[in-house]
Amino acid sequence: MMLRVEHVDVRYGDLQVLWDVDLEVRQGEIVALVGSNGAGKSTLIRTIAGLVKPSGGTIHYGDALLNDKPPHTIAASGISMVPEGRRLFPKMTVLQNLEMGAFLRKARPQKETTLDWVYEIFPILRKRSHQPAGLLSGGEQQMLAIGRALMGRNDFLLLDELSLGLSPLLVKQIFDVLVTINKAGITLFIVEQNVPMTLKIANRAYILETGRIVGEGVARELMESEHVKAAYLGMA
Amino acid sequence: MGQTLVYGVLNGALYGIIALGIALVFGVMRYLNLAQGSLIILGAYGILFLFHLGVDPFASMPLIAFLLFLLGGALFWASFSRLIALSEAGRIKNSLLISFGLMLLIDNLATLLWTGDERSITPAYSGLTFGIAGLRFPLIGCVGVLSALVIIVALHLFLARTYFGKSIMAVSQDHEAASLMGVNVNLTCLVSFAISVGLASIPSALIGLKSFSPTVGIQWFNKGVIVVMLSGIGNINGVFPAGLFLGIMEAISVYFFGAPYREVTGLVVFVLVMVLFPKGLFKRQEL
Repeated sequence: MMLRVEHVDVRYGDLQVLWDVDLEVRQGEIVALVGSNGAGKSTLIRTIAGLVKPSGGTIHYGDALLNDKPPHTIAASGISMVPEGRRLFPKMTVLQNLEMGAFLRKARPQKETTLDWVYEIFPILRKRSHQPAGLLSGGEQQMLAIGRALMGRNDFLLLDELSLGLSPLLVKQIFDVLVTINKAGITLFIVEQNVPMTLKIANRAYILETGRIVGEGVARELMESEHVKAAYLGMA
Repeated sequence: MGQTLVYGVLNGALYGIIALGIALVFGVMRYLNLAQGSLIILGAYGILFLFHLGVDPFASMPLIAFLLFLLGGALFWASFSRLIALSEAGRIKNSLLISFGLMLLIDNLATLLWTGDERSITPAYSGLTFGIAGLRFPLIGCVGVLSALVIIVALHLFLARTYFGKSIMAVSQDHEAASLMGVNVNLTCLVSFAISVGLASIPSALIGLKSFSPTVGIQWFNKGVIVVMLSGIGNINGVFPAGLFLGIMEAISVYFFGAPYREVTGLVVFVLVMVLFPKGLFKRQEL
């Protein structure tokens, strides 16, 4: 078991947004967390990354308890994140952003090799390498955000709302890349509103509604379930 | 006129190096450290103390820099570190409050310890000048400009080339994203704050060699903050040229209108620049 989330509650002040969330991600899997706007998906992924502290429950990565660890320690222990809204360093060039991605001590010696790999996955980034990240198009920025996370050489990747604001063609392209990355041995945990696209590439999925996990299962089977069809796939 | 410009450049370099410390902290954390001027004066008293023990002011500068660095780290740890979680506006307002209190504390402590008398560090070479092309160059001022240049280049290289420096730049652009890259944001902020207080040691020596008293810190802070605004907020590389600009404008005004109008001219120039170039003189195109 790679990541294990047990009975996690999260509150923002008096407002509780997650109730008793249980989920697990095994090595090599693509696991999706789907749900509508405001269900608490981003809160959950931010809690795993350490940006939000849970008020109850436990989060384990391997044997390590992540609950009270700050984000930089969680990154060092093996989890990278592509945050919602890309969150690039806008005044740095593409190359400088990628170099920041390799900030982790274990990633530094392999920086050049990883860089070649990232350029191979996203050839456009090589062409743009000396442009400021803030001047890239939305799709290029998303590729850079993924590339920057890959530079950390972590085995586990959290992906928050990759498809937001991208054209369907770009979304397809980026999801194809996710499959490639997964085949290279990186475990993926994807939070998405684009349910059909996500369920197509995921092995397993959890459904989050108003802060609670209401369903889980093999992604292909979930696509067939009446609830998912009605609520997320627009098939009544 | 040429002689006036020499003094303008020398003063401007001093303004630039004062502004560098203010700009670093403001750029990275959006903290406005009102106490920077008082910390400079505190450093000047330290240099004066060592001077009475027989240590040359420029020789004691590295030690004072180190002590100020430690003091800056301690101040950050004890008070400013709690503001990091706040919004940008919250950080500006609360850092102003904390540093205002700190300024009062340091100024009064200095008055208590060393009285309100005006002091000056006077090594044997303090009045020395040398002449090039008919102009007189005061030795101390020139050493000041040189050390300012060295420090600015060193700081630039540190920020651009080292992993730690790059992480400071990353935190200044998006501290949450930086933390996801594995950057310890609290530590990075603590060290940047400590560096900025350590940078006060250079103006400590230069102002110490002119004259100082416990309460003049805020005046030097004012010059520094004007230079930060002239340079364009967040633009550390523009700080030194902006300092030179202010120094030269002041010097020109002394030449044409006389010394009493120096401060006024500086402020008028400041207002004009803010009206005409609200983003500062040297700000690159905002992304």
